[in-house]
Amino acid sequence: MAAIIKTISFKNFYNYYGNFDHNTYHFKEGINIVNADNNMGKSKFYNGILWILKDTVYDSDLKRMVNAPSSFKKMASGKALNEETNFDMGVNITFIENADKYSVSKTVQFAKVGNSWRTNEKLDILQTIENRDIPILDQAAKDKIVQKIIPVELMNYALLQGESMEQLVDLSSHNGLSSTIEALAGIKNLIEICEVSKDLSQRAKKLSNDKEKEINSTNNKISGLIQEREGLEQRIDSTSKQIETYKTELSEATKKKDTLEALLLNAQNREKFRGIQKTLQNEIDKLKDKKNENERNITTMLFSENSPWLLMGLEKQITYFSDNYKNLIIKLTEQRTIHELAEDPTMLLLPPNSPDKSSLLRMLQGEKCEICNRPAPKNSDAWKHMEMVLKRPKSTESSNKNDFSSFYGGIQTTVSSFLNSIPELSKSIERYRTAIDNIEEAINQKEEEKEIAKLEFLNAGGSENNANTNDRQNISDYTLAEKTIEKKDEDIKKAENQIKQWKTRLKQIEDDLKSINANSEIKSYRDFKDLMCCVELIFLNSKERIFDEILRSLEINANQKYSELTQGNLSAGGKLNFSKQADGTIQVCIKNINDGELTGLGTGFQRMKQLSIIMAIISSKIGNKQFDYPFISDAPFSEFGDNFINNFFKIAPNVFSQSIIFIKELYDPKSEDFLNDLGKKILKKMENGEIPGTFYVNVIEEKADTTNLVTKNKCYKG
Amino acid sequence: MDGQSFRDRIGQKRVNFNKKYDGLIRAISKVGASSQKGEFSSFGPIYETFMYAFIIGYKLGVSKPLESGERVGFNDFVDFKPTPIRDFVLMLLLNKSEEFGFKWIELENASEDTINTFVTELIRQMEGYANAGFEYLQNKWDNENMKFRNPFVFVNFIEELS
Repeated sequence: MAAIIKTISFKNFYNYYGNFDHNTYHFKEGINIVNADNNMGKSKFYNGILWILKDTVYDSDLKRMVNAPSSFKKMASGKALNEETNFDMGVNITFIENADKYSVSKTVQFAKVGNSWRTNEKLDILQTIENRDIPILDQAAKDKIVQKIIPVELMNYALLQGESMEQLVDLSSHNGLSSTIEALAGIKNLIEICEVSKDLSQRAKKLSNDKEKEINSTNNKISGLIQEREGLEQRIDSTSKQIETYKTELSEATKKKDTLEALLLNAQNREKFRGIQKTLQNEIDKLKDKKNENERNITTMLFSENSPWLLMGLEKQITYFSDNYKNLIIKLTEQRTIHELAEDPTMLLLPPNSPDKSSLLRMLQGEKCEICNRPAPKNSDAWKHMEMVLKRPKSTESSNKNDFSSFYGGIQTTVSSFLNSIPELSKSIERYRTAIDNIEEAINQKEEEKEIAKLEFLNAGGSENNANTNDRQNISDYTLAEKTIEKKDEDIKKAENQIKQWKTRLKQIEDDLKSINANSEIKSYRDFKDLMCCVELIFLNSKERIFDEILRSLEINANQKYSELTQGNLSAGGKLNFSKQADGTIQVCIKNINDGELTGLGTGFQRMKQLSIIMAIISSKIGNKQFDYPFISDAPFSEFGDNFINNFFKIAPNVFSQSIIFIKELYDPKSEDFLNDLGKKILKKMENGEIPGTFYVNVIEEKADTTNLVTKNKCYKG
Repeated sequence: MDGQSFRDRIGQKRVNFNKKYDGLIRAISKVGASSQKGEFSSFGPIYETFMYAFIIGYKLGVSKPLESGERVGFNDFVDFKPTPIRDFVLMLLLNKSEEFGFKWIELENASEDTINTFVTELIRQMEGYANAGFEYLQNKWDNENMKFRNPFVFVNFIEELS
């Protein structure tokens, strides 16, 4: 009776937009991996299975399981809701059990009426017999077929969700322990016999007491003893009930303490990632301020005094102005000369390179013309000519009405400073753009880091609104739970001592009654009562012995699995220790080689502890065979290292005939095939046949917000 | 008249823009109550916006002098800052002076009235180039408004015309 899931398909279910044909995963015996990053449909896939098997889904907003019908609109594809007015949402699982093949489909028809949606859910089951699909119509028969995938009593061990793994196998509560032992040993009948024998023993006791009272009603001493015995028995009975209440309260407080302990462990992580998020946000804010300032300064840069971007491409205008200015000066000089000649016609125009004033003085004193290198004796014509040139009248007034040369000159001086800077403006702009782009890149980088820190924060149990008041409440609740445990332990001990004293007195009374009242009729009632008490004790002891043996074997088996899962790990994982508590429940802790409790192990080890126990329970239940039902787990490795994951893939096929694992630890968004090194390694092992099974990778082809996400799958190993 | 007096005469002239671009100018300048414009890039005072529009018009090679009734005065030319850019604007206009009928050499011997006419025409030409620049910007604003959300928008326009 092995059930193997062959396919799981989705239609317009969360991210899985489109028909069943577009969203089908084919599975086989061995390990079936669905590798996907956050938000790419792992938990949604798992929800599809939960919907079929348990009619529930995990609501990630509410962070709890909800009935599927209350969540239909959230389960429907956002894209379908946005684009269509009539569509079907559904999940289909096909599986084989022995030679029989079944197809189970849950579908909800969506029809838009005004602004709201009308929904209609239906369950269709087909059984394939001799290549013919026969619809199953009877509801009870349908339920029975759904249970063939995974029976209700095994769902706790076959359906795992990483985040809630801590609560799955609960040996620390009466209910959790009983259901585990029941699942392992099938001792339901024994437990029922214990109940019956207890009832019989009570009845025999009452019968004997009533007879004794009836026969000895006139004997005051015997009546007194009987009365005292009745009083004591009533008190023992009510105190025993009180002890049961104490044990329940103790069990609840212990459970609460354990839950809070896990939360407190996560509280440190939350605090760490809360701090990282805050630091990154500060850095992002600073970078954004810097970017805004740079952007605001762009128009300022247009008018910068040293390199004004506004003047880009206008350098030729400076040269043009400069030429105009030179021409003006030349023209003005010409005008002035013409004016001077007009004033003094004898004024000679001096050729270029004519001697200056000091040269003329030297030439007159030396009586020699240095231009033609001939002597020019004093008062000779040549000497007089040089004297005339030296003493020629100087023009002191402009010939024009205006003189704007200083105006043009001033402008020339100012704009000349831009001659060098204007050709460099393009580079200056490019540098500025690059600087802003770099800041933008740094912001994106920090945003990504912050998003990762946020995910870590959420993984550690943080909430979107980031309130840390819950952590304070948890610490206070933890202290209260510890005090309750201490108080209930004390109450139980006190009550048990009291009962012990009362039982001693009861024994004395019984002995007294036996010695005083040796009536043969009474004796037969007493013998029957004793016999029934013995029968009750025998069954009770048998049950206890079986409990103890099962737990001992579970401890050995769980340790074997724990050792296999932690093999090769650098930090020693210790040894699982099962210890029976005062209230009869079991506490599992991890001990070191010196038998001391090993504390400070990460969540990975704690989950490994749970996974070991689950595997041990399954192995204990099925002996040396494989587990006959699919083992389906969402994010079981979110706190595990590579070594743990490797070990799991190595030993899982020995325990489970088929497992379907949703995982992100093999995903790398930057890699072309979306696989990290470990993913590539495991895929290779699958291709080589070392690990049997299939390997899928989910991808999002178009970026969209959460409501419009569309997940596609790539089959790497079918 | 000496150079300084000439410069002063130009500096004292009131500068105008076309009143039909008042809305645009207020949208892209930090003036009055509308000085917070987070979503758009903007200039500082109006004279910056005006000089920017002038350069655009100058690069386009189009001057559209204002008609009477279109004018809104905002600053004297001397108030334009920074001074080196103001001088550059003046230089660009002086480079075009022959086109609007005045040779530098002639100005040297021109009468007071002619100088005044020249200064008036110089400012009129400046307003004309800015007017053409504003027309260009208004067109962009009306038809490609999204571009104004880019902080580099005004640099991009200059680059496009260089």
